Amino acid sequence: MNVWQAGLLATAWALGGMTALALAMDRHYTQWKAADEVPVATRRCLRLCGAVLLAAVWWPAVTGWSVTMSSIFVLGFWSLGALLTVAGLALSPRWLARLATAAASLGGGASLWLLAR
Amino acid sequence: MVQSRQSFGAGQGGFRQAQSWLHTWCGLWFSWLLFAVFLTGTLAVFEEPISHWMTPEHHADEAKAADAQASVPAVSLSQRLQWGLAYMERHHPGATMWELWPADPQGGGDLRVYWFDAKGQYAAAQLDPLTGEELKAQPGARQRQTLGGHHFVTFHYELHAGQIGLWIVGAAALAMLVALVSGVITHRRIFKDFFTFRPHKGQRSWLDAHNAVAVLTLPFQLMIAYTGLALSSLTFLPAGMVTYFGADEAARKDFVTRLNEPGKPQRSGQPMPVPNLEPLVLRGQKLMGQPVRAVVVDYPGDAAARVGVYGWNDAQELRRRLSPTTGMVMFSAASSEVLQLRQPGGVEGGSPALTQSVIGSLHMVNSGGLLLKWLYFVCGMAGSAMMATGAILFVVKRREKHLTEFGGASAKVYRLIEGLNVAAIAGLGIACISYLWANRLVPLGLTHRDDWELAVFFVMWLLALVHAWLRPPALAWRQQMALLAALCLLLPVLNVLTTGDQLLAYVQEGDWESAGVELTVVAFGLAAAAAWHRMRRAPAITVRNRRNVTLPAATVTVAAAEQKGLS
Repeated sequence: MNVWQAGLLATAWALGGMTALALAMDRHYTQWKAADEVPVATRRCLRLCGAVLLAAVWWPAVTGWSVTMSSIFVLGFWSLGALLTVAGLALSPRWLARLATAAASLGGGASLWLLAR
Repeated sequence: MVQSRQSFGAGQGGFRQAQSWLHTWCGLWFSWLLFAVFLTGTLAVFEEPISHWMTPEHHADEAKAADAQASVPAVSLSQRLQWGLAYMERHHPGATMWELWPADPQGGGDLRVYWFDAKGQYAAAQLDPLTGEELKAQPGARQRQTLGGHHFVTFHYELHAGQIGLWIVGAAALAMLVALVSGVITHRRIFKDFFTFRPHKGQRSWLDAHNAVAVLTLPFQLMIAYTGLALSSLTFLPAGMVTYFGADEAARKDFVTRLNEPGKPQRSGQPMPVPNLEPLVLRGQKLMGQPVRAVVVDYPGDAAARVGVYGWNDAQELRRRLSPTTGMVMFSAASSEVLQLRQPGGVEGGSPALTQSVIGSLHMVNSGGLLLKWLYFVCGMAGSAMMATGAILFVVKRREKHLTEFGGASAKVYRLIEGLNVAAIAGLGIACISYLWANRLVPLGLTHRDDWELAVFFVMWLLALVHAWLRPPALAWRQQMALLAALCLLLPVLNVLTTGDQLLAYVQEGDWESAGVELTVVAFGLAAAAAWHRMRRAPAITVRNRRNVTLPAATVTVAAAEQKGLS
């Protein structure tokens, strides 16, 4: 995995992870869906997806750079993902949810393709 | 700045309220300086591309050098070393140190030599890599003398004011750490509000923005303030050094020598010619596993002389490690014996020295590559936004609900603060972009041309301050934002008119450093234009809010003046 692939993948998963965590909160879920609170199962699922995606950012960080540098990159990409999430929620929560889902899935597909090569 | 307080002073209220008081006032008084330090520090991340853009005459030289290198047979490393040594023996036999930079990592490129002159100053010359003759500046050649991007580096840590500036910035960095910690304690709903930004809601929006940019990039903000302080720890905490070495200049020199050049011998007084450098260089390259970057001869011509061979870091490898040091092998000139060996990334002096190296690298983003620089840039801009929104929030809060924190002078002090906000935020932006304009407009060949560019930066900033205090705040914001947008958006046009270089041509030629600078400037211009556009509609909201509160006479006057200015 080269640096740019690693950077794109890390950004996509950080955005996906942060968006999932945000939408698991009542305040932001109501911005996305017409509901007062997040259904329990959905909340669990979103939180799990968020945690897994954020943890997964370590993989491109280690492969693109190194174990030593990875913590710096992971913190950087988490911050970037969170800033993008906040901006997205303010602009259009619906589009943010779509974009984050697409980014996380495309990232997953791309990484499978990279692994299979 | 989360809680609005009815009572004042750190001693009143509970712990959280005391922290809120500390955060508000510590943050406010340092916010203008911190914003300046942060914004210029963030620009300093891209020091090299900015310097590259600011020296357009070098672009042609670089292209010519690349062509020349491709078309002529390469001169061997051995020959380059001989030429360098011969130059130093002929011109600087008495210097205490010779430093030869024979070639780039591929064995081509420039041939440079450095030495300490009679005053102990670092001096340099460039030799022709094809003939070994000194390359003199061509008479009549018009050089664009400039500090380039280094201005932002120097300004952000010492404000171009030497040691005093360093102390001032150090105090500000300490205040920032205080404000960060007290801010986190004050922020009661830090997790609940984690992703919250509610636009178009006046004071609430400013608070949300302030919280979001700070909390979401908190690891970076803590790291950059802490490493910034730790980088100058010798200046701020000199007690250890003074205890062991003494307080005078000689003691400091002795300390620095022992820290940076451990094992440096004393001059013996016995003459001995400098040995052939090539065998040492070849052995050094093998031992450290890097191509040679520099060869440093301490006490050339003396029997105690030693020869240090330093390597070039490989960009790919440097991306992967935290300590940016290069390999180094130190030889005794007399016996060719290896005195010291440092592998790439290693340091002399054990864990404390390694820690210091890593702290420096973390702050100055010396490793990690281009992508990490962009992450620093984004987080640095978020930090700047944190200071700016904090300072603006202070005023917005008091616009909507007038607090009498300064007794009868409150309205005047708030007006002063608002003026400072405009000049510190929009004014600094104008000063920075004016510095780039000055680079293209100050005539070439002017004596101390670089100082003139710097003068433009400071004069524009000062004018912005005067303007901010003369005009009603809302109008000052709008006018300065309009000027900022215009200066940013017109920079590529100015560049075409003065140098003939075009943004599109940069992209076509693959000159991404120059293109990056102009594209980023244009992006800032668009953001400033959007801010200006919003400000044109903003006064209505402010006035509507004002109707609901009773304002002291002075504020009403300011509000009326604002409306007059805006109508």
